[in-house]
Amino acid sequence: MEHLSFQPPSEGLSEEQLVSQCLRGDSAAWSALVDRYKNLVSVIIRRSGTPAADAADVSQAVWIDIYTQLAQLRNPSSLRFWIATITRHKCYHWGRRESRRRVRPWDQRRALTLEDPSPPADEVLERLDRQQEIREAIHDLSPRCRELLTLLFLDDPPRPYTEVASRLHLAVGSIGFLRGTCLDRLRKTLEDRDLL
Amino acid sequence: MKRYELEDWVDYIRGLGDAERREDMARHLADGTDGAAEAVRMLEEVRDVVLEDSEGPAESLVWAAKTLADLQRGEPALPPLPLVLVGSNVPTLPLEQQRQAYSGARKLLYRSDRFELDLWLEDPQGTSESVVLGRVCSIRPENAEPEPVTDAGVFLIEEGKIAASTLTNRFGEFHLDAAPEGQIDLKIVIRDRGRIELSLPREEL
Repeated sequence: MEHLSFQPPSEGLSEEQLVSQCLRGDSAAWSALVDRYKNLVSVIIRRSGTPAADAADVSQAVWIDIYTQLAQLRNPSSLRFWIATITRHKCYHWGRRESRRRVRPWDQRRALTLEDPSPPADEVLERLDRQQEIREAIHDLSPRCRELLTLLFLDDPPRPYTEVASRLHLAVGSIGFLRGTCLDRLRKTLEDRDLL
Repeated sequence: MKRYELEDWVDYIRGLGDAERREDMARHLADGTDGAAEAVRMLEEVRDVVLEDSEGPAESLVWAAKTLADLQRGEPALPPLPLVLVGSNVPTLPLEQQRQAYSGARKLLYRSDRFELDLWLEDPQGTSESVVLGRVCSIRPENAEPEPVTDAGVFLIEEGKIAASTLTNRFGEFHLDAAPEGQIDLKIVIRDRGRIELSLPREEL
């Protein structure tokens, strides 16, 4: 019997197709866009040092900008780069606005540190872009392989293979086969995206 | 020299394997002969993405972001929850006298048979921004304390477009800045329950 799996129609669309369908008012395409880039937005906000109490509002503000400015995006193939830029700008301006509102005690040590320790914007954006490409490559894997990768990499100290097998409802002897298969697929999808 | 497979390098970056084997692999990496360093770097990048994404956005935030499109197009999937103004601290004076008599926060209380919305509108002196504070609660039977509605999406509409948005916190409270001059339009979406829509022309406040 043929194995059927449900896949929403907006899954697997190119960035150009996704943007085009969003601009036509397709709710499913907008949901797919949010799903594809939610972690990118979340990671940038977290790394920006935005306080946890403000992170939800910054995130909402970012998605409003993405939605309302999408029609102005000239090159849809640069969608993820554009989203990363919008998010970084939003975090920056949010931080500046909040710092103007709050009277902070004079921090001499900070004032003496005149050099900006953060890497140049282009470098950061390129790294974020590459990470998003890896994120999408992982997403292209089967749910089974994604779960395995998560179990392999998530825990510190590392989870023993017996426990990984148990979580995946596998015999311990089968874990090697699944791991080999998933890593092969990961390698293939990374190669297809010129990441390896 | 032994050739290591991708599976071996996964274990290497997970910190598994005995010391002797790990030393041999480290030497192998240092030699840089068969693309092992590239594979390890890639696996480390995969690991970093997996780790970062494990702290992904709250599900309520993703839901609120997805709701934007339907709200903006005026096609909210949830039914309206009509609320009635049941309390206000604004005196019933002619507009000019109101402005003279009252310049502080304006408090409004709306209620339906299921929900209660407590609104507090402020125009802080010396700023062009307004502040909209509110609390959304569901009404419980038998005079029990109202229960805060957490993670309701609150959207401020300006000239027909969503200008700002937030979510209610665990106390059912929200805070929005930069409410526009003129009419204040609020849409509050309570997940799986319904939506509240309010238009508050300032001259009536």
